Amino acid sequence: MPAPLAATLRPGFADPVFDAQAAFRAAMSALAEPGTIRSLAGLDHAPAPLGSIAAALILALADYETPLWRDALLATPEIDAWLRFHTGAPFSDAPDAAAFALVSGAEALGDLDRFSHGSDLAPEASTTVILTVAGFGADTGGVAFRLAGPGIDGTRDVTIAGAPVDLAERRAADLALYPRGLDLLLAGPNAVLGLPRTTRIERI
Amino acid sequence: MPTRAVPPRPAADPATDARRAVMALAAAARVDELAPVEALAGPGVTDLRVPEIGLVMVRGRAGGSGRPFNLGEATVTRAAVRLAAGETGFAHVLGRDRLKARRAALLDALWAREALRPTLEAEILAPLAARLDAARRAEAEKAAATRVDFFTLVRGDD
Repeated sequence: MPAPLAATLRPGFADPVFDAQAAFRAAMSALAEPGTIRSLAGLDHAPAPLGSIAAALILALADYETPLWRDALLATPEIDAWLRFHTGAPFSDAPDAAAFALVSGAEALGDLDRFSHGSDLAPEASTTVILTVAGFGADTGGVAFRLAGPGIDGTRDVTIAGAPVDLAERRAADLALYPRGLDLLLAGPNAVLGLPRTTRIERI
Repeated sequence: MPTRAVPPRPAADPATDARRAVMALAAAARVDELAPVEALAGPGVTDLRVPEIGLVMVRGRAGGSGRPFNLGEATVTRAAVRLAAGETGFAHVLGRDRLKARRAALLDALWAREALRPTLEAEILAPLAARLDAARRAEAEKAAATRVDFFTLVRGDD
């Protein structure tokens, strides 16, 4: 690895096995029960501006066979070196070739169609997008959404600060593609919330 | 564990060769022989990579030049540390000894500090090299003592 960056390289998980398992469990539960807020101990020492929850998720999920795409704000030499050292994942400049996408905020999300939605034969080959948001809950002054679909008994209401305001419309188009589609993990300040491809989203 | 010479590798600069030699010694050391690094490293050490156990595929080449093949998997422990002054050290050691991997990484980091090299040499590396040498010699002598030289006095077909 490049010598000058080694002096600034940040550590990863304090306990690689159990911390990674906790982060994986949070991500899995978040996608299994969309809209539930799964609190998680993040990586506070992750290189800025990568959020602590997004950092914990990507360290738990990415490895040498999952190409990573990150938006321009997150493609700093320090973050790149950190991701390369701790995950070994290759970087992808094309969003549709990435297994995981790290997105720093709603304004950087762009058109969802640029990410891979998988194919009908291999729908799991889609991109999992880890989007950093400002927070969850009514007191955050965010946008309220009503969720329905698999993993939700009836409907579930969530308030998300920092999510795209037109999230419902942008996800609606994806529903028709099933089994193809995108899975979204929203990384808040201390919790993760999942919006898998099957979840119907309505703005309220 | 039998000790052996470091296998031939692509030529590197002398600094890298010296570092490799130090790490080869660390790999053959017992965990207690590396203990002095803890005091030398002092406080403020960051564990960039907390010691973790995993598998590596060991590859071989018949005769050192044949086609590479996968010999088998070996258990290794790796660690990476940064000292308070900013030097980083990396280590992989065979086996499941986390403490040894961390100490070997500390040694690698301390080796980067030129002023400390005589101390490391005197406190750790020289005694270690001497022990390994003695062990190697003892084994060679034991093997040599059992050697039988055969020679033919008279060929039977005369």
